[in-house]
Amino acid sequence: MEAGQKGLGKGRMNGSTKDAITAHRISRVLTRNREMIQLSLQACMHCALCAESCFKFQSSGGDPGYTPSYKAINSIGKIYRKKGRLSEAEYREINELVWDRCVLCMRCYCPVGVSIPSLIACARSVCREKGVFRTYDGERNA
Amino acid sequence: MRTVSLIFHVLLFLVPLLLPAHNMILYHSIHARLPAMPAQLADWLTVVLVLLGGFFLVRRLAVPRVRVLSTLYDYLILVLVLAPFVTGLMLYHHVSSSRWLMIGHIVAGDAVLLAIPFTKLGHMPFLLFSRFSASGEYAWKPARRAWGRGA
Repeated sequence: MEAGQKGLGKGRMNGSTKDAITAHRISRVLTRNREMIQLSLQACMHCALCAESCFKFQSSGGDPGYTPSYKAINSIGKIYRKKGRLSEAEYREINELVWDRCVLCMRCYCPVGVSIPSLIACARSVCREKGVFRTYDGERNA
Repeated sequence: MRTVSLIFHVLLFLVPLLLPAHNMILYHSIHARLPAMPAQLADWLTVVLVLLGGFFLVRRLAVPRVRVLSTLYDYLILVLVLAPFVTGLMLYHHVSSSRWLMIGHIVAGDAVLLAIPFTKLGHMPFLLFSRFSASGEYAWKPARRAWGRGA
């Protein structure tokens, strides 16, 4: 018992315990935001009108990968559908979508009223729980 | 795009509601009717509506940022919405005397109405509840946007 506590204290958790805790934390984020995610994904008309309001889309020369709804659907949408059980490679792709392709300036405009920044912020929360996030010292944690 | 979308959505309501033939059926069943527009005008507006629907379809196929988002579901929804208008046009112009065309028109119209609460078509009646209640500079709420609760 003491050894176990000591091990935990020093961050020497075994892999499966760590995975279980991560899965639980991701599930908690998804449960907390379930209504918002579900409603937003259902309401999105895939019209891509939000693209015009995104400066990252404009400055990329119209790259469809920068469309705000594309970023939301392929990040939190994917995470939500698969209940957070995504591969490392998929999380890395999401990492790029929600950190590199979006700065959360909150200027994206949806004619239906979907709060795209809320969806991206939620995807970032899940990624942080997974240990996949942006660092600003030149190194990326993934 | 916004103008096209606005005209499309307005016609989607106006044409079926103010069509003389629909109002005649309404009058025969409940002895009340809405003001009807001239049949020829309704005919032209239906043509415009179908063309605008075609524009949406072409936009989905041709514009990369829309194409990456489009799924089979989006195309089916568009076909479902246009089906009553296309069959209506065919009926008005007596393209076929088959009663199946009339049945198809009625079934297509009913299918659209039934699909509204269960599909993305719900954005039409529920737009007021979603669009203007989402915090933003165009909404009724103050222009303060919050990230998702706890996100």
